[in-house]
Amino acid sequence: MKAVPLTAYPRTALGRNQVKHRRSQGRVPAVMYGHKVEARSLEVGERELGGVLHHSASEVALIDLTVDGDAEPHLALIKAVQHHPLSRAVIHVDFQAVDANEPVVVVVPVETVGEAPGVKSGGVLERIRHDLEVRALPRSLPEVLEIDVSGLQVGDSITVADLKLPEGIEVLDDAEVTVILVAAPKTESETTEAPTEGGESAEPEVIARKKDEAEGED
Amino acid sequence: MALVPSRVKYRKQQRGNRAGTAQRGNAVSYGEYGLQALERCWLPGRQIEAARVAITRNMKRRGKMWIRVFPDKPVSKKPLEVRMGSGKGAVDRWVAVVRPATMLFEVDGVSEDVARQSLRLAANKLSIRTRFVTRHQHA
Repeated sequence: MKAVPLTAYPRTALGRNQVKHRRSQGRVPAVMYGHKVEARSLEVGERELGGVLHHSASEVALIDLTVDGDAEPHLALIKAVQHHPLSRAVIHVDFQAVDANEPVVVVVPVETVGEAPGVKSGGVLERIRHDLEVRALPRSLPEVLEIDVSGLQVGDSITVADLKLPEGIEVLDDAEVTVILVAAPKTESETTEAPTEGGESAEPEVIARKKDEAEGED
Repeated sequence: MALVPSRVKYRKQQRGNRAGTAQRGNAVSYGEYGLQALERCWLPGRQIEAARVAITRNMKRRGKMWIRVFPDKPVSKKPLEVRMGSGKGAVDRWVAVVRPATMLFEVDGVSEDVARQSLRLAANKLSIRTRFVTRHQHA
């Protein structure tokens, strides 16, 4: 993973109201923490951060973080990005300061490559795991884990143990965990649930009423 | 078949509060693509079922689908031309409380084009504005 340059500024605005005000001025609150680094409140430009996230394959990115006023840039990973659920705007970023020579653990998304013959013959490609926990040196971290599915027939699966990983990358999930699966095609009865008589008027059983009846009998 | 709970603790409920945005159930959690609500409403079970059928028909047995909302709230209604009073009306329909950003449906195992088409057809069955979202969507 190539480090992308980004400038951050020390943040004195703390607390909901002040941070909200900074957001309205185009600044995204951030925090930097990590091994041998004291946690610091920072802020980054919304546009600059948007550019970094837009050009990376996932939200896990390696950053050359220049903090305004610091002598040297910090090597950091984007550990977490919080989005507003409706506007999707970035509301907070976590940077984890890392050492280039120390392995780190990150969650990397899984992507499929190729077309499975099992899917062409009616099977369903199921992604059991959308991301995996990976340990590697920061600069050799993959942006995404590409999994070739071109050899999968119906009923075949790929587990963590089957993954062909680049050198220096270790997946921490259990070796037996299924990542990708080509399931058998669904039968007609599975896809269309038969409507039952009564429809909307079917009344659910009232739990409390049952108890009352039991008391009435006593 | 409209969706109805199998067992309930009480037959009727008060209206409750549906203010604010969805603080949970607002992300694509199971599939790769989702249909997200942009407005608030009481979504009737019949609409959820109609949307489910639209998705299933369009996906033609390919892929998987998840319904992320369930109508567990009873809504009562008095008969027409009845004077006020004499207690609360009978249960008329079951609804799901949907707030903006609620994820309504998710699909996986199909191409983005098929997912978009299926969820567009499903959105046409719903009484609120929605949008198509993907799991790894950035700002």
